[in-house]
Amino acid sequence: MGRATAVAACFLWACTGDIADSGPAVPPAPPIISGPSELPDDCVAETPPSPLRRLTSEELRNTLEDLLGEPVFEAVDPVVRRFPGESIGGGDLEGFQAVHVEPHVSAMLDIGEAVADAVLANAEAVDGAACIASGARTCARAFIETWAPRVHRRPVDAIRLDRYADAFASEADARDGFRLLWMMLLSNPEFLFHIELDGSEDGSVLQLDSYAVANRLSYRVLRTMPSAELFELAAADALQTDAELEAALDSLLAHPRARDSVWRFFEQWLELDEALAVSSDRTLLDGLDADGLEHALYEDVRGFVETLFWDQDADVERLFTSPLVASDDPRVRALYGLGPGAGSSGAERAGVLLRPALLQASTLATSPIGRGVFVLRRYLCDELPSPDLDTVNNRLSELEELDRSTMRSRDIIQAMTGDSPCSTCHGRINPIAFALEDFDPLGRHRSEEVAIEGGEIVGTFPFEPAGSQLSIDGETVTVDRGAELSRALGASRQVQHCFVDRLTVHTQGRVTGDADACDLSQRTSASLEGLSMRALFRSSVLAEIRGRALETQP
Amino acid sequence: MKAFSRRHFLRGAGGAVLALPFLPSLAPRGADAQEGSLPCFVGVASIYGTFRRNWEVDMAGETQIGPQMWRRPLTEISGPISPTLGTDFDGLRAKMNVYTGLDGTSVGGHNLCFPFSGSTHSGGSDARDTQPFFPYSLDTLLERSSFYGDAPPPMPVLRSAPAYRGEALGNISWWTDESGSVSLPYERSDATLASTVFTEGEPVVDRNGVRLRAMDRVLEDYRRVAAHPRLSGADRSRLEHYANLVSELSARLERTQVVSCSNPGLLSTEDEPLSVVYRNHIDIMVAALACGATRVGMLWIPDHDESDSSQSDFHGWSHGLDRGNDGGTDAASEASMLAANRWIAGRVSELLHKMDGIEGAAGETLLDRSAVLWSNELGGAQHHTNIGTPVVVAGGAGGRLRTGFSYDFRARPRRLWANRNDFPPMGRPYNEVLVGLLTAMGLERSEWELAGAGFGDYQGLEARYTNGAYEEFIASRGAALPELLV
Repeated sequence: MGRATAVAACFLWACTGDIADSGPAVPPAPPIISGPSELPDDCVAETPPSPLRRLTSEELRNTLEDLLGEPVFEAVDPVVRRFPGESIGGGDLEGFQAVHVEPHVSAMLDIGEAVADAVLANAEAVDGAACIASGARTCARAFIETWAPRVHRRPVDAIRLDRYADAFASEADARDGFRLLWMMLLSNPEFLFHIELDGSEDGSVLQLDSYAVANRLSYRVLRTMPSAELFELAAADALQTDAELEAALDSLLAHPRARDSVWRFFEQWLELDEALAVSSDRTLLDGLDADGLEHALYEDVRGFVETLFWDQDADVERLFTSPLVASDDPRVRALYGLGPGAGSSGAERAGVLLRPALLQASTLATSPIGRGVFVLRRYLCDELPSPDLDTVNNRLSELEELDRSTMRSRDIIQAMTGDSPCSTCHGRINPIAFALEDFDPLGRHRSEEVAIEGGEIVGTFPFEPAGSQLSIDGETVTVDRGAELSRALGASRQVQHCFVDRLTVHTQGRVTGDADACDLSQRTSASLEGLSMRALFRSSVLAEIRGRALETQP
Repeated sequence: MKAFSRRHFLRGAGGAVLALPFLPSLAPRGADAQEGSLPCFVGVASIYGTFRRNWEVDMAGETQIGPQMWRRPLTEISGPISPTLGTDFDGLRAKMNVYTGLDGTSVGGHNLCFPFSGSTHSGGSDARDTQPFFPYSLDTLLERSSFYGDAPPPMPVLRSAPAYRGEALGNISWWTDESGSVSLPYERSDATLASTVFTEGEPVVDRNGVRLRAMDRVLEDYRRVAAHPRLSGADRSRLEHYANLVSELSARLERTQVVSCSNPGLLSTEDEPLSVVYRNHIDIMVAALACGATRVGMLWIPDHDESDSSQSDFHGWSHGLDRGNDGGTDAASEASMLAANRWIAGRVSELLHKMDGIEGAAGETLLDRSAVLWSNELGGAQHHTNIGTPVVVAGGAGGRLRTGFSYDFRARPRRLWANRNDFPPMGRPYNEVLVGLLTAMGLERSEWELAGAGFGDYQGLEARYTNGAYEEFIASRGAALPELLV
């Protein structure tokens, strides 16, 4: 394998589109960065459909923890972990694609059985369980009346209560009856799915009752079942007016778990755990201790985001321009080129885009194409097609003769992707990628690119301004460096629209569609005018929280 | 050190990769009594062979992996694996291999000892009560080797022959020493087998039944909610999908009978359908393996339908004999023979599914840490030799076996002998399978090899293996079947 091939192998991207076009290379137009058309402010927001979905693994875990309390949940936690999680690879935000497979079914039965055993083993700590544990079958009905509404997260009618009681009584052995009961409760669609069927119909919209609203609020903010206080508000039907909803929401946002929930959005949006793979090459590390560095880099991003979101009430543009460095870890600060104390990086670095954690490559060279694709997909919601592997392999085989010691990463990428069919997508990827080449594989700012092979430096190349031309919101802008790119992105409508869209997907657990266009446009406009990320989060939670579109009958 | 694992807490430790019932709570109390990942061996023998084309797997898209060796992943086969194997083994395709082109030395006649000794009876054709040319079988060797170390269980080998009501049982497993050769008996009565394996007294906990009843009620809940008029069609489909998964799991659970380390008190009568009798024997065997009562189970399946109809019918079909011994492919015989072998395959798949439904402490199933060999005294039925023996190997032997494929070892172009369209071309010595399994069980070559001549008998292949092939195979006696071992 030629020296360049290893570099190229982790870079190359080829679109599946226009593969057949093998004609001469055409200089690509500047990549267009502009959002969906801005709708008039007086557009009318529709009630979007709310596809039924199952509890995500995170929601299930949180719900069981809150439902069962500490001693019981601790006992069943190992069983709960058998419930398969959702893939977040490729940036799919957790939740809206919560498919289910047979292991989900068997895991829920296991969990039900384990809960029954754990409740009996901790009967004194569980409402109504002591009586059951004593073997008295007569107290089953009282236990069910207490627990079924908690499990269903809403009142349960007498017929359903009778079914549970009958099931318990049908087993000759009381312990078996208790297991049967909990398996039924936890495998029930009204526990496992977000069922929203109660309320009043208003044309093609179901105006949800207060219990459904309480569930939406709680799961949108805290990823768990409503608290006792929220249930009380639902019972009093006190979750209908804007004032009631905002008061309840503010109460939820004050909950310590809200920080985790908000961070979970950023973590998934940024695909942070995909980025955490620090090179272990000693030459590259240059004395830096990489042990546990991934975690420190992860915490650096979290500190940055949470400071902006919670403490500074910052807007989206600030997310892309702030020089804040929140980490106290000396190794992280060294990557920023900072000693102890200073709270900001230099002007060469701006915003979340240029956090070292998000610039990492586990290889000896930067991953320009990986960076470019990440920016397009994550920050611009660009549905870039996946590369054609045959094309990739063909191109790699042509690179045997390229020499890493004489070529910059940028030169290699250009040689590999500059013509058709690769240029179809790389015309969009490469200008962004090259603007980030003033940061090395560890995310350090650099003035020269160092080529390393076999622990040896085999070449150095001074950094040259990228000169990337981007068409942003209708204007052509030239960016030379990462910080310029980041600032340009932060100000763009498309990036802000993308942020608002992703936030909506995350909080509401569904894919956005045409019915969201007006709402997203209005909130994007508000964001561009400086509405804070926290306020955007609030608005995403409250958006259409009382209504669910009903299917129009043919 | 990578002290931080976000995936772990986000996704849980399990992941979504389990393909078959993951029901650890069904595992018997004490299933973990089985030590670590020590492998188990299960041998299954059936009789009268198959009609070759009903055994063969569609090898379209096969890959040649060596001289006279072709392979195709079983998961690539759409529809049934083969006419004989059908769809009973779906869900186990990654955990089994199906073989075509494995040859024994018989030139005609029945050799019950063949599947596990790789040899024919020394008394000649049909002399089933005479010792094999090779003096011992795989199971008896395991019983007496380092397989059990210094602590063999009370029942080193469980030998089960559920319902054969014909000739005297036995003559499958053999041991020979200074005092002579002995055929080890197989137990016909499930009650006797159970009382031998398990002590009396402990109650059987019917955890399986509770779960099945819970699923019935859960299904009612899904149907009720799915019928709500305010649900959209797409939402209804989501609920129905989940309900279907519950139904499928329930159906599988029905097959995955509960096992217990106490005597389940089974007991079939003479009037039970044979599948019930076999189910009892299989349950006892699976429980015995899971509970550590033994690590070697042997199951002889001489039966072929629910009613224990005449053995002579079964034998007649195998010859294609509805109208005389002409060696042709009588359609009625072939259909009857296929039905018989499908019934037998059903018993084997039940065994494998049950083994795969028992999970050990480390997450592997009983099947994963076992090696299962399903073989036959004959190959192609009509010619009544063990040329082209139908063989399935299943299980992982604790990661020692490579599975998931159909293999065809027959020479090409296929030269059919004597103008008989069922007579297969030269393949590979069947004994290589036995060597591979003995190796997977951890035995040293010195423990199974006899006089430097490998395991099993090779005489008799000479006439078939021409053009230097015989010499080649003789020279490599003692080698394991290609690709069988990881």
